[in-house]
Amino acid sequence: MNLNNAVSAIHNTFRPLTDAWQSFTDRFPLHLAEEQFLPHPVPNTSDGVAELFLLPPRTDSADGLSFDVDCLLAQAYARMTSYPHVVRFTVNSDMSPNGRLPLLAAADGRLLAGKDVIDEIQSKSQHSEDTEELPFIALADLDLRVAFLHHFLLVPANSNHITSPWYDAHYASPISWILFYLEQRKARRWVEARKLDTEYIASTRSALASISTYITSRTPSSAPSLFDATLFAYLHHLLSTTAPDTHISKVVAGAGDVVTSIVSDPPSSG
Amino acid sequence: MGDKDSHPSAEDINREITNLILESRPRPFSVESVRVSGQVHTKPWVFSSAFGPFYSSKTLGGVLSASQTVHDRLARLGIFSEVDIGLDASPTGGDAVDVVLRVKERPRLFIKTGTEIGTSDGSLTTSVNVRNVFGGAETIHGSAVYGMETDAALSSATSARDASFASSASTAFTLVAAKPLWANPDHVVEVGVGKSDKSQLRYSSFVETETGLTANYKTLFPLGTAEVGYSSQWRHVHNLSSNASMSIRSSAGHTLKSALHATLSHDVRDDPVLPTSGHAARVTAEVAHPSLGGDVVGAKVDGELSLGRKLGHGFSVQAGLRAGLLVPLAGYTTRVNDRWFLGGPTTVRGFRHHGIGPKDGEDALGGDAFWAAGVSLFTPVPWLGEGPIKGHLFANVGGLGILKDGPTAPALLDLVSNPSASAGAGIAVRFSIARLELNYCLPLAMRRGDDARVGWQLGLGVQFL
Repeated sequence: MNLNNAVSAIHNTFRPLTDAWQSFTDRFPLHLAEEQFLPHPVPNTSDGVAELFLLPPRTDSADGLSFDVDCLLAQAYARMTSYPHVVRFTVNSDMSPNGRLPLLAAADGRLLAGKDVIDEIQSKSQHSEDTEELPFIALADLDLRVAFLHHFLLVPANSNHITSPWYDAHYASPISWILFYLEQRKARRWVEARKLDTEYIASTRSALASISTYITSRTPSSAPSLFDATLFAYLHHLLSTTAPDTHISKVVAGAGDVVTSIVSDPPSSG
Repeated sequence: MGDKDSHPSAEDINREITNLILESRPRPFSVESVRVSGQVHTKPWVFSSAFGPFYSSKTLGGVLSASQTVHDRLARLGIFSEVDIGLDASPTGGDAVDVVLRVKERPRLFIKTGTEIGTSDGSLTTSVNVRNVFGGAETIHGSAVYGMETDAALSSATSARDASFASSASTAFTLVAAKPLWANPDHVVEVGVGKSDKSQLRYSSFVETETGLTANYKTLFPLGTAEVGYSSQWRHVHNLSSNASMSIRSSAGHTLKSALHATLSHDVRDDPVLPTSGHAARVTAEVAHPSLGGDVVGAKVDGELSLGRKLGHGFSVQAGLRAGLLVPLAGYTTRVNDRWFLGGPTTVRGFRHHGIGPKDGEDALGGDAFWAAGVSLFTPVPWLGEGPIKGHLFANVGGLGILKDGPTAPALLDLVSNPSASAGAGIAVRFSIARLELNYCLPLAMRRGDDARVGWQLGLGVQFL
């Protein structure tokens, strides 16, 4: 008799005992009660439409539009394309899979962040992406972002008047001061890696001129596009705030065609 | 025989001295002066503040009792390795004596460093203790850990986007300064700052970083010890797992919790690790409010009771009860890092760690209210006698829940009337600083979503239910 046979014999000898024990333990737990708490569904909306989580609006504004460029882009684009959604304002960026808002809890329960939010909205839009717009979107993402960050975070008069109160309103002190400082530092590094401090006004003017040329030359379309939403996201707050330092605001306001294009069809909050 | 009679044994001498002292205890006596030797850094007032009992003593018994009191007080300061008190004849003669106090100060500085290296992580630990900093028995304790962890690219937790080896560094530190008031170890003020990372990734898919400060006053009260204090903690829930539930995501972000807290403790057990007699009780209350700084508003109270009884022949029984209630105020919604968790070998056995209570997917959400009770019978093990290994039979029961509408009677009644319960048997081993248990557990009752299983469970801890 080899070892396997011996093990098998022992196993068979004790099988009735182990089976009896197994059938005994299978009875546990003897009592099973219902859950004490049921979590909210995702998305947590009465009609099952998507939830779009965004950073809150400016403290000096009642327009219901997020103060963050990326959040406002998603908000504007979703509104422009009539994407069914409900807006939730929160400062909880950590809830997002990539640690940044916007976050979209899609109707099918998926959690989307970053570019995936725009892709999701675009996929439900009846208008396809216009490849001609892509270079101008990229231009805005560089030059107009630099202008935005400079205006609201790096120009002390403006950041103390507009942006710092936003942090104070949404975080307890001194966390608000620390987070505001960290955001300023991040913005400064991002800007300094791309532009010289002295050239950002000139590059903003140049970018707006290019965009203006494109707007006047493009084929008129009844449907707003991602480009329109992008332009709105960058320029809305620059044009609508009453800031102590108005260097950038004046440059933007001087680009008449561009301003007209975003003022003609502003997205309302929702 | 004659030699034996003329040379009394050491026992006889001791007995005779003891009798002499006992007979002389009522004899009028006074302390003329106290001489201190051996102090280097310690300020003279540390000693003089302890000498009160000497000068109020009127008899020899009083002087001896005062010697014991002074010895205890100085030894408990933790700054002396040796404290010897002797009595010497006073030059003035009569019933006066001089007290001679000899001390040896412990080293003022103690530094310890260590390194731990694993397959994918490593850490550097440094610990510094400074005793008797300003000569008034002040202590400063600091420790810091710098850790580095590398996630392998093939880890299931790593998303495709980050499919490279990703390293993350973390730093944790504590710095605590303590000072006994009036050099009295029964009245201690502590101030501390610290930063720590608490990973709950395994049970709740998040990491919490806490940075903050605390200030505490510890003292004795007739039944035990009391502690009151203030703490302010910047809490950051972040680094969520890719599959973290929405309930956990909603609790993420920054909060600042500032609270006043008080703890009363009473412990007369014969052994805190594996008690066989005596009892212990603790109650802690905490109030957090924005007026103290921060954005967390609520009141929290929790307590525990433990009883031990010897049954004879090596048998003993231990019973325990724990409960807690968190009441959010002013519309505040409790977050996962405010709540309690329940389940595991040191609380309700037979359930996994954090295995009882509300869940969202795989994430334990904790609860605003909990209760847990247990009874354990410890038995001698044949052939092992009164050794540290005991047989163990237990029954545990408890409940944990989120109170969406606050602590209403129906919600609390539901927690009590639908408990999770288990029973089982195994062995308990008492080590010098911890207890190890290996039990075969049978979950008797549970709620849907609870994480329990029939089988063996290993537990290591100090405070078991």
